[in-house]
Amino acid sequence: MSQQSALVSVALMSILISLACVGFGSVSIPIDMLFKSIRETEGVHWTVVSQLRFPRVLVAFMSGALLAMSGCLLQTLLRNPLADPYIFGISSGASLGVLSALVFAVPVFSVALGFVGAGLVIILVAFIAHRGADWNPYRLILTGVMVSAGLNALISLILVLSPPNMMKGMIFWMMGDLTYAEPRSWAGVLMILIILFGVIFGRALDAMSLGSERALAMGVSVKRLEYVVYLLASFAAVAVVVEGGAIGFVGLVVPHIIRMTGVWCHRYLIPMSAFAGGALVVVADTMARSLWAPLQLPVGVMTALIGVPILIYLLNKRSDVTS
Amino acid sequence: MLQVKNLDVIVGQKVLVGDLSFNVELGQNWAILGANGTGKTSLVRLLSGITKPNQNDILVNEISMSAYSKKSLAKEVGLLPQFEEQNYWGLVGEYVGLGRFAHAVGLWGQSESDQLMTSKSLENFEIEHLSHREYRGLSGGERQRARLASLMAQDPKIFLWDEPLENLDYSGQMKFLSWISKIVRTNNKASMMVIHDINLASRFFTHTLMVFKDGTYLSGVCAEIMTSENLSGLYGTRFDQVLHGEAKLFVPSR
Repeated sequence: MSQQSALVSVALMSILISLACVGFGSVSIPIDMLFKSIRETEGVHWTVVSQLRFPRVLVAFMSGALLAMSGCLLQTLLRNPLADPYIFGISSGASLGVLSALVFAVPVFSVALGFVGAGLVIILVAFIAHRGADWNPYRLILTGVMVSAGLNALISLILVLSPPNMMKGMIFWMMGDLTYAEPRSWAGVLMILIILFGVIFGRALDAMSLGSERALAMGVSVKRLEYVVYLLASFAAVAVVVEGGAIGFVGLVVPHIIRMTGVWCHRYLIPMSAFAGGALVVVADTMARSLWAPLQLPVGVMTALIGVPILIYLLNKRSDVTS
Repeated sequence: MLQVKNLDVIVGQKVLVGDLSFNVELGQNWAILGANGTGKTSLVRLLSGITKPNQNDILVNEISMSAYSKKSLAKEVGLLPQFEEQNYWGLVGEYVGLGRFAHAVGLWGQSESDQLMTSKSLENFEIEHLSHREYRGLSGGERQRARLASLMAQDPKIFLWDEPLENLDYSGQMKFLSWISKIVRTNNKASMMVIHDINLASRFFTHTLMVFKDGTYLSGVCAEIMTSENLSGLYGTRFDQVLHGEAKLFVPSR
């Protein structure tokens, strides 16, 4: 299968899956009722669909798409298959902000403080990685992991010191939970922007996987590209984390799954990661809100439970995947 | 074509080669010789524009190298580094086609001439039958041929090669060196190659740049400076010259 047809089929499938998930939930809506309510735009089903289900599926899709693309970009930037959207500690920075808002009982500011925390991490990591020497993947990844570790220590401290009745909410948030998330238009804009970036600069990103020296010799403006990739990948992670917490595994696993199906050109890899990541989180979130309904599970648990077996299966099937 | 004037090759704080000056013209085929760690790789990186000299700019077509955009420079000077990262997941044909990056125009970036040049490069290095295989699955020698093909596809005026014979078998080495000599002569190109095999160097190249351990250098026509005396000084080991038919060969002696 060519990469083009793979992209088209994944796009169609993920959109269909996502639409089907609108019908699932504690109130199951059969497909004919779903269409009927959409046509009539009234009734109980329409209220459920338009007020609850559709926004929830939309935010899940956007989160998954942003995380998968962010992970894909960072794996290329850092030339490291273990890179994921949270490798620089962006989620830890955001968590610290959000948790502080919860601790100091100013939940209205939680999103704002999440932004501040994540923004500071983006600046801090770039600044430290840049000092003294040229930034390179090695410095960048070590800096990120260190900043992340430091922030995680602070988060643990907050968790331990905070009153027990708050702890569950905090842990839920840190595992990734879309219960209170809302689809934001700027997240949608960012999603489309990164897809376009991947399509337009795909070949330069392909060249980057040969290392910056080779890419430079081929005529790629490596430095500029690296800054843009760093910022886009970071913003994507922030956009997700402030709304839905640190939904894990999507960013790590989805790009690998796509690559293992034989699509590796960034021009196709990035949009395909978006669609597949979106569908994965939609399915995971649907399961999270319906398996134990009315109890809602954190979506981050489900993404790992679905994503891990798929990746392990593909790894075993393709014995030729080595470093 | 390529003018180097009073260039210092600096690694860290140390000047490896000082005050280097030479001109490379189209039609010339240069060998860069020197012992390990004398700054040959740093030099070709400077010449390709990957790193910038501290002072005294390098001129390409009498224009300062820093005045070129990355893409337009890559059409003038192209370097195949000794090493590259092995994160490439695509097919061999796509890998070689990536060499056309600087030439690509527009969003989809593979014009007919790009495709033609890519298939010509695959053919030239006898890997067209591998073009639908994964690059990662190739043997060391096949990989090296794909790498050489990708610089051919880039089609710069001046080729820079950093130890390109690595992993090639004898026939591959001979074919590659003959091809370089040919395109330099007939296609109005120039080439500079870091190479350790002095007998191949004396046979295939027109010019030589010798980089000595003490930071001095010699540049000139092969026939004049490729002497057993210079080579002995270059590597710190004695060479005797023997004649094999017309060809001068250098044999290291104990």
